Amino acid sequence: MPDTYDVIICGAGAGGGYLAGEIAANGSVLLLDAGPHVGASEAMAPGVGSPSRRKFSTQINLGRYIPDSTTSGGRGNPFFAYPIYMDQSNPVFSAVQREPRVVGGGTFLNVGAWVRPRTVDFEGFAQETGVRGWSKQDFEPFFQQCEKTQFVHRTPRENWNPGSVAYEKAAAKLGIKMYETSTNKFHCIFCGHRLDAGMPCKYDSLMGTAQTQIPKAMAAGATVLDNATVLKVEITNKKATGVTYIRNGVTTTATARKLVVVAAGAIGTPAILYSSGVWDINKNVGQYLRAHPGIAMDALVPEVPGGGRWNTDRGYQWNCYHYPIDEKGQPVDVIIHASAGFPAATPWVAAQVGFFGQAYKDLMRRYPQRVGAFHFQLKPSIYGRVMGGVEKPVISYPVATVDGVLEPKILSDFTASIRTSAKIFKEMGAIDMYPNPNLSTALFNQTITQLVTTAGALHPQGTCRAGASRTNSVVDTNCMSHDIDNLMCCDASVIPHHISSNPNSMIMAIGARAGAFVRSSILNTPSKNLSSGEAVQ
Amino acid sequence: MLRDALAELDKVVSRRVFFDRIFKAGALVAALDVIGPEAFGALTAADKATALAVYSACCKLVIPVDQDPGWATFEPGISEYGLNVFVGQVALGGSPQAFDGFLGALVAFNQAPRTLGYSDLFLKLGPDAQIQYFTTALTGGFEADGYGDVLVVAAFFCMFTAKATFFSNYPRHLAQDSEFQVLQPSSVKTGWDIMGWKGPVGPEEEKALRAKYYDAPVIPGIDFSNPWI
Repeated sequence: MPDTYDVIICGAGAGGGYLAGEIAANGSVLLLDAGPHVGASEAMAPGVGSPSRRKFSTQINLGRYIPDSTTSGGRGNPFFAYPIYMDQSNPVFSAVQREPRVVGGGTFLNVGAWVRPRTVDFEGFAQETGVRGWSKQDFEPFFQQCEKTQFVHRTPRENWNPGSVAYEKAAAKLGIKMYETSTNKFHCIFCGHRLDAGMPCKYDSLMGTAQTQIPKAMAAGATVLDNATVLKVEITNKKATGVTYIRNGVTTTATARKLVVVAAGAIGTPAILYSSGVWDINKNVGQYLRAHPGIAMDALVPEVPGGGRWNTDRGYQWNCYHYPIDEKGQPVDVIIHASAGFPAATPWVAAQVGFFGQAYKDLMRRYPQRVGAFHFQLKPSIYGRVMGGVEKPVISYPVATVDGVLEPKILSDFTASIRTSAKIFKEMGAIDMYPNPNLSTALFNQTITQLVTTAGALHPQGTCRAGASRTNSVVDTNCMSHDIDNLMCCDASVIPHHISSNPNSMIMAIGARAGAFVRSSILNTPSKNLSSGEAVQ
Repeated sequence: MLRDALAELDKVVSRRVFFDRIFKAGALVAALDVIGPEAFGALTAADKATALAVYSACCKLVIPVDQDPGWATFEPGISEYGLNVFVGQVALGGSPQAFDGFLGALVAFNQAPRTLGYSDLFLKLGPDAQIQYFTTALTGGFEADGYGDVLVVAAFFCMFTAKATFFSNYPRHLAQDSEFQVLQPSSVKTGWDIMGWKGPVGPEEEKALRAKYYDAPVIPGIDFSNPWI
């Protein structure tokens, strides 16, 4: 195996994985990922899956994946688990931030819902860091390309699950406009098996980069090394020259002739740059962490139209979404996905409820019919931070003050969104719900605070953000480092400002755009027609 | 009403106090992750056996046997499975240092009752005393005695992982060496059974679903009726 490549990419997720597929035909590429490449040697058939992927999809829900003939320590853990400090009133408490560690990254686990950012997000990029070339128009062709390669589509209503259908109908009666959630699945058979947002599809119907761009890169000759943990980027005279990684206990340094891309996610990328000494040069590394606090709302709705049970028919899908609208007719900064219900939302939700014993089993028997909605607050008025290197990054995302009070915008936005969902659930026939907006203000606020501070930071982004100047950012318009030549970041870390959706679509668009830049300006090869992305066959 | 049921349950465990305990539990786990086994000293084989016995006893309190099977009637080995997989891998993120610390907390959980007014070790207490001790530990009732954080770690993770295992249909739905993870006939009712979830599909159901949905029509692209995108 050669030890010199044109481009070395650290991280095979939404950004790095997509980028690899875009450039592998134009130069030699080494793609490294800290996790396993499940089913790598088996024939890929989107919508069918392979035995090892099926095994993986079951085991990962149990928190482990153990490949055959495994000998190296730490191999196979499907998640990084980082401490994240969110409550300043309790500085010794940390929740656990889980980040996927598998070839395909977050796209392998969690891209059933494809939602584009809002227009206001792109305006926010320039306002936040002065970055140029990040307008909606600039990214439009790349979104279109990704939506083609990832087979993004909507599902006809006859195949929606009952929760989504009922929620949309109830919202319509109240004059609340819902939008159809797109998804990137292929040959989905609605098995209902994917009950956890952290669980991959055992039939490979989720079209992540592991099913699309990475096989494309491999077919073009890219080398993919799984279970390879990047220790640092080699930098000489402010120029990235290679990468040092450890795999199966052996430490290796590979040389990059033209480019090193760090694409390890919003937590992993600043950690690698910290270990590589980039933080010593640019203190913006790891700063400006943004994330989406999330709350699952459950309602007890005994009657399912047409009979049956919520969410068990046609699987667990988020078929539609909406934003609460304020008195000025503008959307509140919360996106509400319908149909995430208590019974559907895996053992984890039920297991975390603090009841046990006989009363707990009685509760399940008496009240099995729950449906729900998931709320993401999109633009908290705070920044977090990632500190430390690859051996142990630590995250601070202080959503609660030293007095234990939740950041006001998060609280007010969630209050508005929960009230909106509550009206819809009531229209559906709900006889109770949680969180319940009819609680006293103090108890309601306390409930929201508890839920937010124990959930971790969803959709982390912005820790090596793109901007006009090294004084407020880490990379430039093209995601190239301000300070280190031949060094690029390509993942959620470069997003300059909050986006109003799951960042997977934005990250893939960044990867597609970076691919065009690398082909034309780094590898000096013609850039192909951006709208000609190959659809899944 | 659900509210009534929750109020009823609040008599056993207050939600607010419970979540507050989670904070403390998380704090201690984070500390254990850094400090490692030194926090509790080196564990002997006897300590590990005691930890497993305490874990099993706590899980029997969390999932009782009534009209459905409970922890005591699940398959042999379920306690090892819950402890190693759900505590070690899931709750503690695969950190061996944190796991050793947790085992130490279980040993402490067994020994503490004697210094807290109980007649004997936790494992030797009667069922009523055990559940009183477990509940008090979970709700932070021993905080003033200086044991709060250690005991709440043990009680919380026992409860959390027992319920996670209960819902996972261990091990009947996991023919892990089988290509299709074939469903095995099971006499064990789990949390999913009580909640009415049918479980993962088997080969025949997969075949039927493929016939029904494999080429189901889709609508290409995204919903551009959203004026905000």
